[in-house]
Amino acid sequence: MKKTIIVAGAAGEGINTVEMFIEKILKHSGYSIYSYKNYMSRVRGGYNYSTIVVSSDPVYAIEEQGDIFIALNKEAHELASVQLKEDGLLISEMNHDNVKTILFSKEEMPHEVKGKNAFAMASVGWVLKYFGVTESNLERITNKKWRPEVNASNLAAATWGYEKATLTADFSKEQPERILVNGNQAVALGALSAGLSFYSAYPMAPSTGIMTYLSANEKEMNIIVEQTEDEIAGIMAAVGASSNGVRAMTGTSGGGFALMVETLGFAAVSETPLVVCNVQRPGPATGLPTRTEQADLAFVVTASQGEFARIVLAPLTVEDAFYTTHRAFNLADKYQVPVVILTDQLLADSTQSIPIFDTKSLSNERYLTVEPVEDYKRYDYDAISGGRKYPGIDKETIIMTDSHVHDPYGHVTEDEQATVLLKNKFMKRMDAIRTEAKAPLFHGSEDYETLFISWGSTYGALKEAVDSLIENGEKVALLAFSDVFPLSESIMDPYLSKKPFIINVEGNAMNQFGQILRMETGVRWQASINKYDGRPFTANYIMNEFEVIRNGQSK
Amino acid sequence: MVNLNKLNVVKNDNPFVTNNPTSWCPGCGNFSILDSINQVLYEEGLTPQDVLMVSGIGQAAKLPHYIHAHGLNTLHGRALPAAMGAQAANNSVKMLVTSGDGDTYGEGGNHFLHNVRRNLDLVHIVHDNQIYGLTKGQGSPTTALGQKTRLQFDGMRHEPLNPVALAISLGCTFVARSFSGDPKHLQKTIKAALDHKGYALIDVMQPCVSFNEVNTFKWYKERVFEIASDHDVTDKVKAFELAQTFGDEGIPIGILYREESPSFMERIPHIDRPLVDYVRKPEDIDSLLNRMID
Repeated sequence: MKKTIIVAGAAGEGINTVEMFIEKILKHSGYSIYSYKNYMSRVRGGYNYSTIVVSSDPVYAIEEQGDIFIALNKEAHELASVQLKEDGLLISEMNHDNVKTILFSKEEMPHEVKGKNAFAMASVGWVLKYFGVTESNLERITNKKWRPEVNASNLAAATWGYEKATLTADFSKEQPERILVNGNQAVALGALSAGLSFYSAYPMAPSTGIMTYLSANEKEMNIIVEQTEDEIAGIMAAVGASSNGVRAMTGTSGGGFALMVETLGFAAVSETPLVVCNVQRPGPATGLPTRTEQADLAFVVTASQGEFARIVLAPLTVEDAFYTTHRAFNLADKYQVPVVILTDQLLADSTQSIPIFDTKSLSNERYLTVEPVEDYKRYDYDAISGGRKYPGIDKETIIMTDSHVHDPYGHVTEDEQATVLLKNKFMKRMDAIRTEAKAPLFHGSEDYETLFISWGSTYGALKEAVDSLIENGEKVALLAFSDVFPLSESIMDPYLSKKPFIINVEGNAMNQFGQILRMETGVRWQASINKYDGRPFTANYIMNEFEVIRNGQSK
Repeated sequence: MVNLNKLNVVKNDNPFVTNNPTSWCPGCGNFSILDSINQVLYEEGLTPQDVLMVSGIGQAAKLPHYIHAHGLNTLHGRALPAAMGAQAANNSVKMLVTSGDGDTYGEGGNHFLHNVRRNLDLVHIVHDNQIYGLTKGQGSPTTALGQKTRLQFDGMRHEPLNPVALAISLGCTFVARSFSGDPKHLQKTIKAALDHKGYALIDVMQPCVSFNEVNTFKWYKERVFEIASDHDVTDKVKAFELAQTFGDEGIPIGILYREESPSFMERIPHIDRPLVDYVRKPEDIDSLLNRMID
């Protein structure tokens, strides 16, 4: 069983607070949570909402319409009829003509409850009772950073709302220890687990959460988080730090990444390990700052002049964002290449209750040569992986890090043969990376006739769609790619023996991954499902589009 | 076959000196800057392993390839952010940045503003020849108004930038000017800069023998004068006034301004040793994860 709660209002009216209390306490009470923030690019006002899916089983995507809708203002109140399912419930300060309403009118509230957040907190209380949370758990409605009076009046309002609820739908279930984490935090934690020491970036929605989380834990983790003057400095400082021995990273969104591309090539030619997270938002230019899209892939795989080795990884879920980011650092060190992690606003602003990350299963591999070496060549043309030294790693070796075509010692050369040997080294690196790439995740029925192809965060909604279609008797399966570039030519071979009908599913208009897949493997898609309205995929959307494609086929 | 020549370290007492061929023009002011750096590093008792030379792109920025020390030769205009990251990673090495006027004040202008604010602990030697050399003779941010170049055929249309006045106004903690034609003065200034904790800018007047027909060796020689010994280097207003003097009224060389202020890494007190020396493992984050359970 699964229910969706939508909390709607203007920026600054408490959407985040309501969401935080509901998801924390419901998670604690044994529910699985998946929530997503839908917000405008502004500081106050506008129309924003958070969608919280509450289930007894793990959830991978949001639904468009809610079962419960908390309206924090009049505009939200009016939109409830659109955003609620037919039998949905509205919690509001006013009665609604077309929707069944739980009315919390100001007049009705006792005097001691009437704080600034009274309605919002009463709604939290009501929701918690609805999901069968015991009254003792209401004490969790406190925030240590707030004044005691605020916490007390919040609790009073929540208790009042709690007592008003009579409907209940308890489908909680015994759960192992889980954490509530969003995609940006998962990337930050993955980096910290890998031994990140230095993060330099310029604020840009929707990537800023990575930097904020790291900064909040800067002292405890003994790291340096530096806000730079621009993205060019952000990435170059990370290269400067990495070339001097620490694990370093930068993060941005597409516009910032556009500014970083020259240094991306510098990282590659100077063979400096580098991890860059591009949290995609719709472009071009300023685009939709706080919305989602998967439209930077084609740009990222070719960004920067010249030819060089790189790795592009697109985590499938919040949990995968952690493990993939950790892996990104090991790959960057192993091959001394830039690794771009492509997430998006959907993943960044999705919070999921997931099993605690298993740090014991991880190891940090640096691929360094620590001891002095006779006639050490920093840029040995035959060293495809490993063997790196940095200034100060031993007491003897002198290290030159260089942006030109260089000799094996890092000094500028215009020699033809050196030019070719350096390029050949990069190409051999690409081959090694292709071999090491993770196979796509397969999910669905073994006797599939339709095969969906996806990459990155689209996996969540697609998985739910595939599960529902299978329940409806369809023979479908999906492939979800996290290692999106470079691809090996044979990567699709295991999945084609039954000659499935291939549907490419991407959060962009141009089927960018489909095109890369076709270019690298020759495999074509027969139909595609695309979404490029700045909003995330849902299972319903994919199922409806699937229906359209099938109807088109049968004509 | 590929020329695998390592930097040829000259067999004399100074371990920084190499005899690798440079791509500088005969008579270029860069030579005396290189010699002066080598000499001062040696006299300071440093070893090549103690020093990181950082640069961007341009004729001046090639210098790290001609000195036996750690080097980081980055992209045009980007020496300073790379230096900042390098210093964050390992502040136990002495850092020198060598770059030209175009590299520093043009392409890298924004980084100059903000790394002066950070008070990075480094010596920034700007080879200021008031022209673009490597791209063959276009106007630079410090080329005089009206000066004809190989691109500005009717003369420069922009006012020149005043690097030392700019640096003083930004709160740069060590601002000096020197002249490549006076190696003694240059060495004295580099030594003082190395001894300074914080951002030490030395704008070095330097003739470009190939592309700047106005600001020649002779032109500078006739104009530079040593700043009077009674100049109060801690008086910011006086320093700013002095920084206005340039061209036919003379070019003051020496230390214009100096102040004590915590450096970049001193402002990050929770890092109490070089960042590169911290040992890290995946379980370090368990404390953060455990807090996310509640």
